[in-house]
Amino acid sequence: MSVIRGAVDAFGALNGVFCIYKPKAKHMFHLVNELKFKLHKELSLLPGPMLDKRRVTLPSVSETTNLPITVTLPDLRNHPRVIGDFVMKEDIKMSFIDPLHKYGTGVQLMGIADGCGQLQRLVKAKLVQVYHISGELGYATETFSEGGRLVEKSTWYHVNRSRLDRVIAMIQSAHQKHQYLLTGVDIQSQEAYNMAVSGMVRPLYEKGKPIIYNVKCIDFKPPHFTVEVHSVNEDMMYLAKLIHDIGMSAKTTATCTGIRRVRYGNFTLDHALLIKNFDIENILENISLCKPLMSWKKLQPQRKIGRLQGSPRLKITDSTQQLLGDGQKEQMEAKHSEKPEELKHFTDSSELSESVTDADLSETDVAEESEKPLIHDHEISEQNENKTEYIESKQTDTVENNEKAHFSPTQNVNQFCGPEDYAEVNQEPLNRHSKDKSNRDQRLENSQHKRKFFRNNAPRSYQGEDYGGMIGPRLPSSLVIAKRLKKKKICA
Amino acid sequence: MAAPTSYHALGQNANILRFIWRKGFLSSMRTEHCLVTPFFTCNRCHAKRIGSSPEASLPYYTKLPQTPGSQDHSMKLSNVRTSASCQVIHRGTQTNITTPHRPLQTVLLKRPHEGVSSTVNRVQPLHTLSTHTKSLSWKSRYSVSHRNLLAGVACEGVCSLGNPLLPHSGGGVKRFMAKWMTRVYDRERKKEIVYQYASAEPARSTRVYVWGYAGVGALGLPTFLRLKGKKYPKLVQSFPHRFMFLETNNYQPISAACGNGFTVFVAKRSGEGHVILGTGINSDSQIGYQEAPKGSGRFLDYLIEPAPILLPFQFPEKTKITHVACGRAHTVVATDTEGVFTLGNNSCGQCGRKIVEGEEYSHNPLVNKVPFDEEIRQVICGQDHTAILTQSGQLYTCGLGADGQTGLGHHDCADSLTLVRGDLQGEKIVHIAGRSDTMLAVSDKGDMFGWGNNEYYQLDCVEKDRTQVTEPRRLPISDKIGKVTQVAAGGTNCGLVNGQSRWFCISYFIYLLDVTDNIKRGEVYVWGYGILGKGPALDQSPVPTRIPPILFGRNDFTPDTKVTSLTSGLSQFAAITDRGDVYMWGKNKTGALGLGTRKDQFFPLKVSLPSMAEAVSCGVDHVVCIGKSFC
Repeated sequence: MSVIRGAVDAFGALNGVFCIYKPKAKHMFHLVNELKFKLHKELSLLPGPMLDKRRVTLPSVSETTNLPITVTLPDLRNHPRVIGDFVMKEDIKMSFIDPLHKYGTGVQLMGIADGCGQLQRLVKAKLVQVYHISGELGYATETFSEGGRLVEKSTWYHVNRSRLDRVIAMIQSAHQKHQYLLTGVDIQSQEAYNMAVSGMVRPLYEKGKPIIYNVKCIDFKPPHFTVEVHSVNEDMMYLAKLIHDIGMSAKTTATCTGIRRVRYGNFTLDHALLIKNFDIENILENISLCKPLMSWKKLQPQRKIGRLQGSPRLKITDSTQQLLGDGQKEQMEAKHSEKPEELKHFTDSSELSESVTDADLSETDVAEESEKPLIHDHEISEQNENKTEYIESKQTDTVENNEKAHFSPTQNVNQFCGPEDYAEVNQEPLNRHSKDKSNRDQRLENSQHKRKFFRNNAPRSYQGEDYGGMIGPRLPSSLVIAKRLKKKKICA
Repeated sequence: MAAPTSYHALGQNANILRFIWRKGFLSSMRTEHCLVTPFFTCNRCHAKRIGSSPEASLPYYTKLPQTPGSQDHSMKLSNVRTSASCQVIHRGTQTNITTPHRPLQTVLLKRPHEGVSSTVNRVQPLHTLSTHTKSLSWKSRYSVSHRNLLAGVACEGVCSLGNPLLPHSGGGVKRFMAKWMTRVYDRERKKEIVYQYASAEPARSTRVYVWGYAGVGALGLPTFLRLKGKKYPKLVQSFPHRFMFLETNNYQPISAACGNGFTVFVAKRSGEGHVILGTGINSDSQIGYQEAPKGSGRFLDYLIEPAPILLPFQFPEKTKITHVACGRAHTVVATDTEGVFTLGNNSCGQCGRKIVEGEEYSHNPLVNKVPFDEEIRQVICGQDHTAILTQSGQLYTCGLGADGQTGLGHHDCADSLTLVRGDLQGEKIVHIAGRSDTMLAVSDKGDMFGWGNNEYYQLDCVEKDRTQVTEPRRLPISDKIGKVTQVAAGGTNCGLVNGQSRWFCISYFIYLLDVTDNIKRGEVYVWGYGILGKGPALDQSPVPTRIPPILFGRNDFTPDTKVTSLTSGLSQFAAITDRGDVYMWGKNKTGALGLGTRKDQFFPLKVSLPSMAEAVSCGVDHVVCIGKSFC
């Protein structure tokens, strides 16, 4: 990771998927807002970008050469005091998937900048999520949750651990059948059999019916109980209703009192960032922590269908291909490969030429500038000091900085400049465009070709981590926890 | 602050009350008496009490402490809310608490972990609206803006302003308020009533589920076939249907057996002996001599509702029916003390009596009693033969022997129960199976024996040349299978469930090798021909092949699930796991798999049953399952 020297670096580095621990009683929308606000605040405290230089011809004439004096001065039109902060709150793009509801807590995946798009890979991968849902026996509400309007109260003394376990086992085995029916394969085919034998199967459709792979009572202190649920495609209401159903099956009523997501695929509570620790440094750390979990192999939809050579499912159309995620991966690759090229081009045409012209002048003019600065502003002089550092960093990783330049709100200001400046500024992008045109088409073609090639030749069966018969990411918690609990003699 | 004399004195506006109710201090009100009824919440049991003490007949404000300071009020209020001010009554009892205004049924229950207190806590002196104004100010310290506004209104007594959030109240608002108050009443009443769906320690009830072909009445569901307001009868029930006949008639189900188009239930009434009931096809009097009405000479060839089968018991109140089995058109009933009774068709001697040429079996009242001294372990019926296994491990058969299914060494019919020899001699047989012409038996050592039809490779491992095996032969079992505990034999397919490994040391060695999948038993092996349960690709196998246990629910989350019993119809299998789940696979033309479809199922799939199955009986086109409720 590059060194972060200022707001520009930081804003550029804030790019990827990260994982937070959502607190209770906070809606996700509000939480995102709050996080954006925090980031914005922090970014505004960091040193902003270097001000552009501007050649100014002084009205007076040099006494020695009898020529008009030109000096290079910082362009105050882009000063934060003029145009505001380098990053506004609206510039921070942040999104989330599978949101926990207001009263849910636990692992919540979020994306920032390009991470918002990467989140869709997670959606398509349909990772198994683990919840700890707590419920209370004895009353039912209209919303299945604590806050709802009371429907009825009932007695619950007859419910004991074994009875509850029996009910829960029934729910689990009912869902096991369900998952075979939702594979999207004809159940009478050999393929359906092979899929069933290979283990637990993910549902075919992206937004399908919820499937529960495992339900287990992990805590029972009547009238309160907690169940651990491994599921896919669920939502909060469904989980609350699950508690309600357990209550009904146990000849009483039950209400969900809390939902906690302890795992989202490979993302566990260990990865989750607490809100109180939410700052740029921790987020960057978290992004790098989550990055290996976002690798293509880990997010491959593991259905083991590639094993069945010649089965009709292998003739996959483009849409299903995308659903399975191969195309997605390819797109991501293409994106990454394209970016540096594009940016290089940008540097070739505009940046370098600019720096050359500036360098010629600056040697002569800096002295003058330092002798008689036009604006005696403390801040600006400070920024000039920073500038030299900034240039160095720019040369080291131009790619990143240019990426930020792309985002910077200073560009918009240019249209308010004078006609000359306007022409100057806009010339470069125009040139770039014309120069690139042929290359761009070629690149497009290449990428399409690559995409097609990949689509036809991608390995469709990746067996993932070996986890017995279970397809999907490694889900150790239930068994391990059961063993631990046994050791502690918590569960009988 | 002097207590106001009535609610009207505070401004005659219900809106303020409404607001106060919203705040949670008031739960109900009665405008006709101009009274305010507060309620109290017990923080421990969440029970809510409306009104004050039961004997209170005066308006509450008369009971106020005379000079309450504002701080005292808040303290009092908090005390009330945190202490158990609700009336506590012992578990399971109900009482009616009569308030002066309306009767209120309260069933408040003490939680066991909190200990039982028999004392009735008097409710603290209650507060009127004036105290509410105080309490509002106490409460509204941390409330949001509009609450503050309203609280301010309430505190200052500017009640004529009404609710600032609503327009000035007119007649419509009053009407709305009336409706609203009834709703409030309903809602509050809900909080008072505690329903009891189960006693403190409820016994798990036995439940019967039926599915499959209903056209001949074998499911015992008369509403399916009676055309009351229906255009067509319902002929197929493709998923389990609760069979409520026995419960509604105060019978307790014990066991059931399915034949070809008929079903027999064994049940018990409290204070009476065992009863046997039959429904479905009765063409050969296999479910008794059913005459309706009695003495009319009108005999029923089909019963669509269970009717008792009268058996000539010597001690009808004492005798217990231990086993029952049904064949193509005969029924065998085994009792604990009075021997075996057989009914129905005897054309091949399957009833264990002499074959009479040209005997009329329809509306035949004959019930054959076979005296049987030994205790019976199992009774099964093939299509046209009967096999009875004793506790001592000896097997007796009678009936059709054309394929050698009687195992008596010949192809003739046997008209009396005869001891089976062959390889069974000297072995103690513990389990037998045979729905059709192939018979399988298991000894206590875990060996498997087979005889009868061999046309579909059922006994291929011992007899490759002959299509009939007339005497029991020991079937070689590979060490991988281990001991056999259960067998099942359908028309063309056979299955077994294995138990422990034969040699413990070997199994331990396997365990050391961490092939743990092999050591957990309760796996199903199938062979023969037809839908074996390993996908459509495998339709025949002369040697037993294992169905992957993951199909029976043994996965990473439930790694020790076992199949405990395996039964078969003519072309279906039904397996019950130790978790009480039923898995079925096979032919499904009549919905006999109970999967909600009529498609054939090529691998085991769970039947959605809302109870834990204990026994399944497969007929030729219908299935009966007896289970227990979860709670």
